Amino acid sequence: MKLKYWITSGFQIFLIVVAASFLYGLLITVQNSYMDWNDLWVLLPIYQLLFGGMMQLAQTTGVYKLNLNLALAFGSTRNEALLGLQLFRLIPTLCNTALICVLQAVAGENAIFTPLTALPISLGIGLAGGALGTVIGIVYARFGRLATVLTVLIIVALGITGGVLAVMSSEPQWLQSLVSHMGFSWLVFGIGLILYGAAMIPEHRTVWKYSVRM
Amino acid sequence: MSKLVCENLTKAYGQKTVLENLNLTLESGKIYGLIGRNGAGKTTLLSLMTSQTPVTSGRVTLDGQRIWETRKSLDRLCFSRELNISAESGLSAFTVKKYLKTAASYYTHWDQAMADDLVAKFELNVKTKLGKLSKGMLSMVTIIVAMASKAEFTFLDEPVAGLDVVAREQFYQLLLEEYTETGRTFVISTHIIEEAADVMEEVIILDKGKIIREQNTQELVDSARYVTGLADQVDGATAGLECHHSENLGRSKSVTVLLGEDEDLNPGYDVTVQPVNLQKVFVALCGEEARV
Repeated sequence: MKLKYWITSGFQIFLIVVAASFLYGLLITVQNSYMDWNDLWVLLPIYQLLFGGMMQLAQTTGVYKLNLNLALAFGSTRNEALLGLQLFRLIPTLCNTALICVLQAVAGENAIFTPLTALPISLGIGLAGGALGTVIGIVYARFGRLATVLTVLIIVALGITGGVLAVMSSEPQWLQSLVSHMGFSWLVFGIGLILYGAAMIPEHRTVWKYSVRM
Repeated sequence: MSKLVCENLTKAYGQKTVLENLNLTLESGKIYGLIGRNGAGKTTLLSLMTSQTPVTSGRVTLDGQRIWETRKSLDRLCFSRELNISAESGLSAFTVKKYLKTAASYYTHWDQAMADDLVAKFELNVKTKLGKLSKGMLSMVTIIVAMASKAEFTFLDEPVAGLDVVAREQFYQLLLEEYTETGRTFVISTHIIEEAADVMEEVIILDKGKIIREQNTQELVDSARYVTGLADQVDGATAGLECHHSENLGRSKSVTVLLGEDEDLNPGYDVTVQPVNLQKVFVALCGEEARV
């Protein structure tokens, strides 16, 4: 199995997500006088969720342009490349989820999520991001630059959704009760899992028919 | 002796057929030259032989075992592609060091000492990004990957593209040293035919998606004659023989003849006969349709 490169790259993505989340949190904390260092640790999981999902979207065409080409050019089988792609996406999601759960456990009563609700929500968002990323990657492999248009459309759609959620969160208690509800958490996870599973079907076909381009 | 066999290989992209019903056998312990005009299908053939592109029909086997999705077979192959680094290619941000490290993580028999040695020999700065390298330097990187992979069957696509004459000589010398020491099989696709002719034991000529010649290089060159003279004399001397690239200039005529075993020019005609090099044979074969 030739997976070392995929695994290393997966961990690199995780470290980038953590670093970006921490720096963003630091910036927000320093800029807002009403926030203290405790708030940084409490809010860090939210930033991790945000950057974790965004990273799954951001590196999609790059995965096909670079990682998949390299793997097949250097003698990987298609099955190994497919497994590598999943590891590349799942390693950051799993590590990010684990870190979020730990941070929430440490935060105690200040935590936004309980570790048990954080687990499915983080996994769900990571999987959903991975699924969208997979679709963009497939579009890139088949239609080239059309993937860029799709990426922009998805980001706009996510922006609008984010805006709606921001308006709704003016009632923080409502949002707090929603995210801490176990049913909602597992619903997010279920949707993520179904999307990811569905995206794997065309991805399998795409990788199987892929011709190396370097 | 190991054999890599292509059976009825066809590759089509949509309506366009790039390679059609191609049959080819590569034996271990030889240096093959793959030559053909632009768009003849050379890179596609090398990609199919190494599973980098899926076949439309047909199959490729190594010692009887399909290479597609077979780890054991793929471990014995290396196809070091010509690198075309565009601004949007993710590879442009890779340093030479990172690219070689990535290659090392994939090739089972990777020889790091050899890779380091070649980096020094080619005077490459490993910290330089691939996007900043000249065409020739990118060729050096592909040569290093091909050599250090230590793969039993190694395929190089235009390895000397952009290299200056000194670096090209270094490459041919390196190739011959490696071949002598290890007996690895090399398949080299190139447009600089005459230079490479000296190292090619066998030549495969590809034209419009079909192999039109697969022969020992020396035998092919020895069998070729460039015949000139008055048109009727040339026609008489070459009647019934395999003639290519016929050209008329007034009453004079020139033609390249490929003689079969025990064949010779018809005697009794006043013609001038000259030997032909591999490049001329290639031009004769691919320059126009053959007439017999």
